[in-house]
Amino acid sequence: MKTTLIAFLKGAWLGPVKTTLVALLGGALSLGQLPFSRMPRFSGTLEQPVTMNHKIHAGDYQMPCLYCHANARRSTVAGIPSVQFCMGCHKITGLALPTVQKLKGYWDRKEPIPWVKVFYQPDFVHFSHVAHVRVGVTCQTCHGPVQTMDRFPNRVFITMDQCVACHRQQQASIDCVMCHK
Amino acid sequence: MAGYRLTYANVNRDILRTMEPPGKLWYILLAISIAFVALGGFAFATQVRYGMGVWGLTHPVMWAIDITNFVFWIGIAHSGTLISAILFLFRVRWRAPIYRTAEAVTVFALFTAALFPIIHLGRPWYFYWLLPYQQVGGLWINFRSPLVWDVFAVLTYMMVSIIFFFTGLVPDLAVVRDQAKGWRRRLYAFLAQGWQGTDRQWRHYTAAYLFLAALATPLVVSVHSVVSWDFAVSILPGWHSTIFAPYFVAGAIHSGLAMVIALLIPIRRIFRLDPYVTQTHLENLAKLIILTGLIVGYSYAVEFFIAWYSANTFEQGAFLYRVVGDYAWGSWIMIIFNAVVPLLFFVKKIRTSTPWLLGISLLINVGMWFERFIIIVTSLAHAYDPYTWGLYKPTWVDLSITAGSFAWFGMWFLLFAKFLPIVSIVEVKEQLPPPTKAEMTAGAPE
Amino acid sequence: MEVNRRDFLKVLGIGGAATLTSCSAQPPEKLIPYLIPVEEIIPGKATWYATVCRECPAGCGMLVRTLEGRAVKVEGNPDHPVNRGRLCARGQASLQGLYNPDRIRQPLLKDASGSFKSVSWEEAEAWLAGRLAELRQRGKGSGIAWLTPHTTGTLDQLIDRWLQALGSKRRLRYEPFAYEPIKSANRLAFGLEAIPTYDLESSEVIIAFGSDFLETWISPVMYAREFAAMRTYEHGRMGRLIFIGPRLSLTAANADQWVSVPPGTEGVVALGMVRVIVTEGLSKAVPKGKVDSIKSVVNRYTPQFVSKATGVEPEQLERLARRFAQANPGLALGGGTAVSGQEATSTLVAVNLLNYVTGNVGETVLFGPLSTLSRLSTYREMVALIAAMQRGQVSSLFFSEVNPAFTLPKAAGFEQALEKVPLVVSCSSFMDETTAKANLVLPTHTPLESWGDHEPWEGMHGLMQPAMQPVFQTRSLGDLLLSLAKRLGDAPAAVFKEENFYEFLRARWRELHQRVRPDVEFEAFWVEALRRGGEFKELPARRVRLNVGALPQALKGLELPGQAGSLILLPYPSINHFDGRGANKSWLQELPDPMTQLTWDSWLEVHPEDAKRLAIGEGDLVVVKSSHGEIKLPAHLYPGLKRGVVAVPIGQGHTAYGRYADPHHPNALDTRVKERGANPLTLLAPEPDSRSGGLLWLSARVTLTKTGTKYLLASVSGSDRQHNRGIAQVIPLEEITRGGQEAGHPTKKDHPVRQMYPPHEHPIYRWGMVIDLNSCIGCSACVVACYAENNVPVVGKEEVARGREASWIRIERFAEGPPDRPETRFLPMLCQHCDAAPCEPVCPVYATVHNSEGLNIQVYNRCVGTRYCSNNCPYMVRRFNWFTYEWPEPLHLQLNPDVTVREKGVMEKCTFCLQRITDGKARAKEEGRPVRDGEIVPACAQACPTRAIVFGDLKDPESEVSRLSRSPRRYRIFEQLNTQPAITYLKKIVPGPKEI
Repeated sequence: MKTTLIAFLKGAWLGPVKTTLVALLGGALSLGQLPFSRMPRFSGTLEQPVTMNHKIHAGDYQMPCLYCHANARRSTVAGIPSVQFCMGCHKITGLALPTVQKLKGYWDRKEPIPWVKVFYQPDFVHFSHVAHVRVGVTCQTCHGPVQTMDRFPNRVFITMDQCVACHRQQQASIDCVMCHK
Repeated sequence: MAGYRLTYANVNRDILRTMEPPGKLWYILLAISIAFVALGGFAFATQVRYGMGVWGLTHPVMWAIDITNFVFWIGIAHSGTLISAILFLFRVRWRAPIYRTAEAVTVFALFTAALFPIIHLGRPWYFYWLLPYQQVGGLWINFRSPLVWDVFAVLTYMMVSIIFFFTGLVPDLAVVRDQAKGWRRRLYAFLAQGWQGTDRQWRHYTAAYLFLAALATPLVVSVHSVVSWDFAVSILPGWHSTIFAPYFVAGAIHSGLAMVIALLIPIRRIFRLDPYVTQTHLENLAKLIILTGLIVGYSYAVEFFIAWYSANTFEQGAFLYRVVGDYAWGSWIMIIFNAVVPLLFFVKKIRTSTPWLLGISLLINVGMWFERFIIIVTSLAHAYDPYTWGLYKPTWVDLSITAGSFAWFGMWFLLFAKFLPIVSIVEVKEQLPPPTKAEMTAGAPE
Repeated sequence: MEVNRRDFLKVLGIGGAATLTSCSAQPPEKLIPYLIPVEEIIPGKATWYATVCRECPAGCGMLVRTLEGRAVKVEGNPDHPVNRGRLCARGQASLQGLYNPDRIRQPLLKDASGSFKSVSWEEAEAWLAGRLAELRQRGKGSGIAWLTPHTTGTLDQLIDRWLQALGSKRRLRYEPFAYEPIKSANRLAFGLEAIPTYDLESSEVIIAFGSDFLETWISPVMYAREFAAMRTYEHGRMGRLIFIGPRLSLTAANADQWVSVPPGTEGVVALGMVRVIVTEGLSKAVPKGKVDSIKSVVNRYTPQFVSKATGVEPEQLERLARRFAQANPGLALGGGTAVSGQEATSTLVAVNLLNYVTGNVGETVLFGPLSTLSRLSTYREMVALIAAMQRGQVSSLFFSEVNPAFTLPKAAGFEQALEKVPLVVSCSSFMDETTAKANLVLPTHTPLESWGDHEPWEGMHGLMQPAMQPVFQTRSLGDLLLSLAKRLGDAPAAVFKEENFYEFLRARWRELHQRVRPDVEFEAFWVEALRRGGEFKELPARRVRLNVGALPQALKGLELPGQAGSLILLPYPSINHFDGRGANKSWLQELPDPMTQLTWDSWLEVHPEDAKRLAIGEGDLVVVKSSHGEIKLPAHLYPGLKRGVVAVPIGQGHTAYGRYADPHHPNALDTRVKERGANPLTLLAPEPDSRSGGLLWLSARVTLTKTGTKYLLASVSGSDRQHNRGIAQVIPLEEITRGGQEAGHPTKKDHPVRQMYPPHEHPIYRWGMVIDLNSCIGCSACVVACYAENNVPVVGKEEVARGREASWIRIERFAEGPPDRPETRFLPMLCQHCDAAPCEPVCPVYATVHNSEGLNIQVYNRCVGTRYCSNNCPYMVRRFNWFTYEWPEPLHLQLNPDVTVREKGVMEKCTFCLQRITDGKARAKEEGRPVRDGEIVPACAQACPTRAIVFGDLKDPESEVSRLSRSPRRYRIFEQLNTQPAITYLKKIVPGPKEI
């Protein structure tokens, strides 16, 4: 019996076994790659109607993010400043710049600026800016070093891994319904 | 063919003959099954496109013939391992000529069964979320869920039975290789895994086969027990029952054996294999069916007795509904076909007559399919809250996918019949007296 | 503030755009900020506006929740005296009027070919002004007629003055249910043609003669609230309700006893009771002389006589009479379509008499404040107008938000008469049967988009303000009339100095301000009114005296209606659709009728015995024929009827009222369903009641003939009985009283908790709910509220028939007791948020789990749709997304952004309004305090007119929910399964037959 067992263990029979295993695993994996991509497809470019430069505002001039995105302090959404708000400064500053002229154009036409959306989170997620701002999470934690960027190279999809990793690290709750609505 | 004498040569010739280029009938059958598979595929595509709503499923009957088919095919899969592994361990001689078919049934039934857990999902494109690996946000699967146990049970069973099937084939494939020409030769050469029939190879082979048999045997019991727990661990009256595991295993073997008979009879007729698969073989299978039939009948009786004995409104309601409710006809099919009809095999005349065998084994398969249907649908249709009671009516999608699954099984089996030796050359030879010198030189007498 | 509002309106269309994402899989690519921010609005924070609900004449106060400038939810206004923060199903659904996909989007002018073509407002007004000017030149100004629904306050004045300016007085305030018999009966008995205030709350015994006050009668939400208050058991007392009428309506189902009598004989019962009371000297506060004369009047109504006429046993009558006489105080109500035959007035005089002899007049029947419904035009006046139209005396007909072509008897010939009117102008928001006949359609704002005011009861001035910018190019009726007046040149223009209706409204309110609060400064008064939703003043009741002399005359016509072989038709206003105006709202169509549990339809209720006699089965399509017309309806066997009566709900059978009301509409939800319900008014007699001038709803005798075809009825109920499974439980009154005070009365042992796993930790909160079955009246307001709050999809009739309705909360209706004394039980069923939830362990992917606050949560995007959880849920409260359901534009604007819109293949269920819990906790955190009890209220609990649902924190022993869950009436459904639900039910209290 002992000999047979040894024979069994290092036997040539492993050949067929290997073949089958490889075949099965290969099959399973290829199945896993089924063409069911749920990622949305985007037609438009990331070219903003007015090339608002975060590097200049937040970087060079050291303006705090919450100065323009003030709602982050009191609401779930950070919000985009209204054209009126931009004009608040640009009535005086940088009028000569073509970009600002463009901005002024929108203001004169009484027309809001159709900014291109950069940061995405899925519809089934509830995220509150105010909650995070209050506990002192910096904007850069999720949005990256915006103050160093002339423009956003590509769209950003916030994933569950990022959120959970940070929540774990900060010992914030990871109850599903913290985020899932 | 009474006086037909089996010799090594005959065996080779007869069995390899089954692999000769197929006739019209084979092509027609294959075409039909492929057509139905396509229909099933189309139905599934519709489901993916529009949603589960194209099925007849509804609230409260959220599972119906999707899961019925799953359980049914898992059940069919059981005969194979039983015959090939268990009977092998018990050194049952008559198993030799039929176990190859039985194993094939197992493997292909599993191919079919494994489709349904995916098909029945509301979002089938996420089926791989049920596999055990760390998922987004560190999520794992829920090991308390019977559906997860299913994944493990079925995959394991599939793996082992395929290996077992394949291993058993190797020596035969070598024989085929030696006879074959051209691309077939290359194909079988690969599949034969360089088998030379040397003494050393034989020693390892037999050892391996023995151990695989030992490995496969517990699965016969475990797999269907796990499947039965899908229902048993729920709290639904009619599902929540402790006898489900043995009850399902017996049922599984019951239907499996019936399926093997139903397939052997035409095969042996078409390929003229009477000398190999003899009346005795079929009769033995029939005897086994008597046993399983009795067990199944007993389980039915116990279920109803316990329902009455429990004095539990919900249990009693559920079982009363089974026999007098909207699906009573199904329940009676299940009881009569599975528990009563097989008793006819007590009569030797019946269990030795081919038409009777075929007829009864088919009835048993119908009966077993309905057993699962009744257990699943009636229990859901009349659950705890009377206000939510409802009925299930299949749509063309349910039916097409079911038909497709049978065709899918048939397709594999047809391919098997033409591309692999359907009777084990090696094991049949094992039971023959070694050839005399005269025979070696003269070849087989006519 | 107005200035802001205007900018706000200006930018909202765009401001809104960014938020319309929730229902599309493809996220938006543009972010569009406000041009000019409005300080009222912080994106992501809700703003609430107080206004008035105009779905029915009751005029409840409403608060509208708006997000980024779109209304997403309406709730009752707690400050409003009519509804005190509660709202009915129809009120909840008013949002679907605002966002109705079939709203008229711009003015329509009928061309020569008789088909509408859309025109600009400028063209439309110019055209109309031209036609009017021409009419006035030809001296036909006096022929202009105006048809409005129940309108009060400013708009009412404006229309009258506008008409006068054009030299006409033809003005009708038309409502199909105008309560003429009540008014005439009060005139005859008390010399005051008005609808009084009924004080249900302080009554001890209420006897309702046919009046469905919990469904549609006068002011249902108000009455439901008062009824629940009067039913609550405290200090050993609990009010009783006895319902006397031919049909087991929702109101009757909530009564302690339903006395079924042949239609038209309610008055006989009332007089029988009066006779018992006066002969036994039980009358209260009635001078001796009057008693004798009353005796003489009611002398012939002996118990024997009554029982011969009505089948009410003499003993029963006497018991009722005595019980009512003892009641302190009692209240007898009468009315509704059940009391609307020739004898209606006499019946209601009899009811008045009953109230009089028991001293309730001045106690629970108060003539002040009067309902402004008293000012409605009678049906007779409508008939007169039709005649005038026939004679060509009406040069042009203006109407708004009324649909006489649907709500008048066909035989009244309104449509034919309309042909004779050269100029027909409709100022309505929706295309309907009448608007379809107009030459010019001027689409108006829905109430949620307009300024205005409404005065349901004298002195209760509700103020309406636009909750959002108009969805389409519509205009408010007021502005429209004003600008027309301007166009009509000097004379009419001179009448109005105000620029627009807003100014006009403020002018009227200045007058009101002078009358009621001259001390405060107007702007303050105005802003306060906007905030509170109006100005409410208690008015004293007028004293009335019974006019005994008139009685013999007034009580004429109570001789029994001859029982011919044919069946009596009882059309009744549907609780979902009222007179049919609710039929174009998918929520109301999908909402099961509380009594029959049928959806998306109208049907013919037949008593099973009658059905057997006529060999009619459930769902048989039947031709119902009267002397005035015939309709086809499916039969529904309904034991809650007096034999010989068949009943049909009013409100279905529309032919031009949008996709949800009209099955032939190109965009109808169901493709295979071709017919859905019919309009019973086809069968009614056109002649007005000679005495009250009302419509004789109860006039038709019908014959039934089978068509032989079966009809698909979409019922949501699997079984009418609970098969002794103890789902909706009751407790006999004596058991409670024996225990004395409720608190600490040990009638109940809780099921022992068994747990294999370690118990769940609930560190801070543990949310739970208590549902009091003694308060629940089955009105289903909670169901619609849930649809609105949680983006619950509407699936359509075919899918409902398959059992795929998606509602997260349902009102289970169980019939108990013998057929002759049916006992109906209602039970709101929703996710029980079990502590040991059977759904959780079976999910292979952790899509449904128990969270740290005791919620059983469902993570939609994790769900793969094995549906095992639903199979394993003993309450079957989980709902599956069989398809990806759609919200036809602009209905998607109503979607609540705080709740995920689920895609096909995922399971969903009640979340205890998770978004509200999250919001409440966030608010508490901001203010650095724990959540207050009662601060977080789920949509269902908020809507409930009877406060039957209470939600709160079970960890706080002092919270209301904890307190109630210790009640001796407590029980949990299927406790023996050890699911340990977070919802506790309180048994309904049923008085024994002797205790009624």
